[in-house]
Amino acid sequence: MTKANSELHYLTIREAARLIKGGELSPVELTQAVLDRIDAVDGDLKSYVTIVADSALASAKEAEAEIARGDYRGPLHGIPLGHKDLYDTKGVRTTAQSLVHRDRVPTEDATVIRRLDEAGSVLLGKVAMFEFAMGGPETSLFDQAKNPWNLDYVTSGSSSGSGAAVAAGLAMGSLGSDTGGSIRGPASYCGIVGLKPTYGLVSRYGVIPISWSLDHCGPMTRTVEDTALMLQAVAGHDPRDAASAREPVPDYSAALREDVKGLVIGVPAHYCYSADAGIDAGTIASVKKALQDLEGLGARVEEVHLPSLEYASVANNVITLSEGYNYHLPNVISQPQNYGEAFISRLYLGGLFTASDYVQAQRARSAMCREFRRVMKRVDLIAMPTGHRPPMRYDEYETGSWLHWPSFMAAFNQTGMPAISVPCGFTEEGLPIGLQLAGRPFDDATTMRAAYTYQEHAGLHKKHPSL
Amino acid sequence: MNPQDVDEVRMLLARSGVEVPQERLESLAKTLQEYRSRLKTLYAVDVEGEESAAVFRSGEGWNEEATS
Repeated sequence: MTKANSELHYLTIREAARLIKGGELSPVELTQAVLDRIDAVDGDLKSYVTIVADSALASAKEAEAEIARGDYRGPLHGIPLGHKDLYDTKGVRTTAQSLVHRDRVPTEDATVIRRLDEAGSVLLGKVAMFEFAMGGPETSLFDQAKNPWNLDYVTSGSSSGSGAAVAAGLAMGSLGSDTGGSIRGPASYCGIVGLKPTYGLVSRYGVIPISWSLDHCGPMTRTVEDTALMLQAVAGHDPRDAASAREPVPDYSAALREDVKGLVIGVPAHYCYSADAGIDAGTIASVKKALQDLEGLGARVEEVHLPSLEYASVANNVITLSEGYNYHLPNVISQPQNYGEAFISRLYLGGLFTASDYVQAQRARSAMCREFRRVMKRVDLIAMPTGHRPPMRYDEYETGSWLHWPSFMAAFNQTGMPAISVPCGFTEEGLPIGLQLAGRPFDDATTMRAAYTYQEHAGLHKKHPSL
Repeated sequence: MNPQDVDEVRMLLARSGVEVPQERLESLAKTLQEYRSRLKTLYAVDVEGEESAAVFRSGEGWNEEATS
């Protein structure tokens, strides 16, 4: 192994896989290096809520032995990962970061955890999140993850620990979940890549829900290639997920090439650059520069009109809160004291919406799908900022402020389109900014290809927080 | 805070069997009042001809229907 042990934690999955396959790196050495990294910085970062060091090292030893006897399973074999604490992990406490589930130990793995296990990956532990994937940084159980670029700033949520741990080298990848931006938001704020795959592509079986019709599971990694590798392992039909699709799963890594020539990228400038949306000027400048770069690389960028973006956020909130309230109702009645304030104050609103509000939101969602389908006949991708502003300080965060925020992400939960966030710049304070690209359903490959082309051009994935 | 708004919140939650303290009712009534302007945006959407959403529809070339 040529890299010093102190640098192993910042290897990408692809780099590590090449070394492991070639016998130049031991999964045990790699897993120990990442565990050492957790030991060194997670006291401040708070990205993990459960660490299973002994079983991680045992898995790594097993991987090492398998590879030594020629049973190499593929690029995730021996790769240490940590997952959001709402994925069921057999024998490992899974809490959704709530007192409600403080002693909950699943008896079987979520489908995606099982698939990653079959691919030979190593489970390091479970990472922090907003309580039940909604609300804010304050939860009823465990500390909240900090932003590794500056510990005084929020990570965004709800996959907060996934964003923090991956960005800071405490996991080589992580499964997050996304109902209104919970993969892409923390990916953007923590300077990593996060993909919300097409609805139905990745199983949600064994994942604690908040909104059945909007929940998506997906990977968060430091590079687009690593996202493709993780997606490959988890994508595909699962009969135990009622919304699981039967679409064929292509070779995502093979589809990655530095080429956006001929791709047409639509930008709803009327919304995402509008002063009314309250978007940060630095974010606009970074996104415009990224789109100029993509044009320079051969893509064509044109404005598109998507009026439904004006109501995407409110429709998403009505659907999420109504479905979430119904899911949580038994526990809201029997143990309200075990929910954190940030979560339950938001959840109760779901009990105040009427049936008409919910149906209106779902019909508006149908109209939105129709509008996006029409636009996607002439463009290949939609581009927008991921967040409307860069990360804020913890002391600036107001729990109820979400009511008034615009969302550039929620529309893609409702249309089901694949959407990825890739780093596209930094603020003057050194905090990351994300570019969001969304493609046609089940064309996750083109979405990742455009993000990969931009990533290779910009090179921002090579920057790491100085933690 | 208008007492009628607080009563409305109490009634809506009670329908699903949830009881909360008066302070919480008042806070929720305020939140609901603030949110009503956003709900107006939602009701302004032209949904003529739209059914309650399934994410994808058959026959429109994007993908097959969900299996549920």
